[in-house]
Amino acid sequence: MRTGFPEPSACPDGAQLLARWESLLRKAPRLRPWVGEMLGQQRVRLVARLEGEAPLAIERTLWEELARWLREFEALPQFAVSAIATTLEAGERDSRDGRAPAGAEEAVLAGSAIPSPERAVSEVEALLSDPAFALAFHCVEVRVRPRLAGALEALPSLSRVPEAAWFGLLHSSAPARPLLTPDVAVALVLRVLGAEWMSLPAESRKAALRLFAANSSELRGAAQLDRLCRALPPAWGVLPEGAPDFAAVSAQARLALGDASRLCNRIAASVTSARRGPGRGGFALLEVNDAAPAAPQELEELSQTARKFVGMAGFRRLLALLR
Amino acid sequence: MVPLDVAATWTRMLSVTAGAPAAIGAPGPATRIRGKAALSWIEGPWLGILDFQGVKRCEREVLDPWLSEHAEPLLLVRHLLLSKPLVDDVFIDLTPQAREAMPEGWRDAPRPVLILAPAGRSRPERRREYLVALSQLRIPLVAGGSELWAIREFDVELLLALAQLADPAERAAFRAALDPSQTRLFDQQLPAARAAVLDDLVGARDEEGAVAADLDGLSSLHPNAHPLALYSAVERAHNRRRAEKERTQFSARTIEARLSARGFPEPGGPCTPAFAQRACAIEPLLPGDLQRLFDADELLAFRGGD
Repeated sequence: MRTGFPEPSACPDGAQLLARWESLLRKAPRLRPWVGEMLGQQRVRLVARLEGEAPLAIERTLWEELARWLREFEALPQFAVSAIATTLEAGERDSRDGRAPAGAEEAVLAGSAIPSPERAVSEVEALLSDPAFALAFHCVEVRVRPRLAGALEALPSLSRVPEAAWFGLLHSSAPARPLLTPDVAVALVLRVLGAEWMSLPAESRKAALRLFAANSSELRGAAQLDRLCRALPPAWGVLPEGAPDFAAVSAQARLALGDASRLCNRIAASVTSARRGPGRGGFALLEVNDAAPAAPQELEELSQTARKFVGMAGFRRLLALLR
Repeated sequence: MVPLDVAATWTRMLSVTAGAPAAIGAPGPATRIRGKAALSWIEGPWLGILDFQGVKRCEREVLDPWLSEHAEPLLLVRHLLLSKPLVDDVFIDLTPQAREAMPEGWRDAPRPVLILAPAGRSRPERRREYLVALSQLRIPLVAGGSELWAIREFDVELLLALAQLADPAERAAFRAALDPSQTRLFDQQLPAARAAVLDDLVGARDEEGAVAADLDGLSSLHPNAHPLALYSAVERAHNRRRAEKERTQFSARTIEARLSARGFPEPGGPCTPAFAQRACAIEPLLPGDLQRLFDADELLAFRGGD
């Protein structure tokens, strides 16, 4: 078992880690050759990288790697570890590449999405560099934002509810679809622009969604309204007497989303009718529901947004497709 | 190989990594209900059945090897054991990897079954075929009846693209066809897109919404009821409130209600004060939400008394 393993004295937890590895390898003996091979490869790399360092430094680094792999394997169900071992035994390419086993790597990748402002900005940029999503962004910009702002202007009691929350609510209430449609593209842009919504506590989001979906008549004298409003983020300052206003803005926001999706559909129809074949780019995916092409004034509106967001690569590509 | 539309695939990859779902429908093993993965209700992996009816032969030739060599182990670690993909007849035949990896005794008891159907490719009557076949199968695995099976629809074109991009030559050609400013992004997005699609197949990225909120609520009232059973009641209660045209896509036992002509229209009784007290003790509910939850609760109880 210890063949290839680093020197236990190099790590304070070496003996304990070794015992845990022994226990794991008893359950999944097919992992054994993979571990040996990985340790060999890592050792060669470390010797090259840490040339001149004390040998114990290499041993210590190997223990760190072993501890990390162990945590990943121990977190997996037994049948999954066996499955990975089976795959590895069959000469799975990932082990040849000297990377973690396929399953473990993906499992870690899937769970490692740590939100950060930099990541959010990069995601928005990546998404909006695509013409289909630049179009969806335009539709949010000219249909959702102005109507929402107009509705909120008339109801100052809701001025503390951030725009991102409305976007998040619109996205969460839109029906989920497994294919890309104009509705999905618009909802996705709302999701990205309303990323802040996801930082709210789950209970607050749920309460807001309940209120967002309600119609005004439901709110009159509702016994639970006080509790529902208390579950909203306190910073929003929404009181039970302001709940009908919340419902009114929600209704406007939903109408705006419908308008935005239809506009997206029409402009997508203009792109797809102008271009057949591969020139349509990502628009080939947008299912256009027999929409009439966009009106000239709608295309002019698009040009205006493109001029406003001149640095957005997606708009340049979109306009080129429409030419 | 199937010709790959680079721009379309790239658009789809970007959308999925930004959060658009590549599969939706009933809960999967990783869908979280009341903060817990659906997997935790019954110990052991779920059975996944990919339905390739409607998928072209040339597409299957790409998907089949990729599934067994690449995707299946990654679905195994996501608690989904696969049966061989369906083409026409609905039957269950575990893959060799699933047979080897399944826990002892797993096949001898009812297990949650997730049918993964290609979105936009299935015929409407296919759902009836699932129902008939799974009702007639006399194996312990499906003895839970429709209580324990449901459907998730997935984007088969994206799956196909990912399968092709697993091939180094295809990947290099795709990369070369991209705008040079996006090649580095592609290198980052490809593994992320693959992980996202696999996560979507098992429900790991399912997001909140009205159905999810009701599912949480009903689960709080019936903590031991399996998420698939709860989902079917919630889905049916939501369908009652939809226009006839919108009541076409069912993922759970609602299919059964519809096909048995017991289904629609389904008048529900008024919410009782006792139920209102019980439900509102858990979370504040407006009258419309409360009535919908009551309907779902009644449907669940009705099924329990079958």
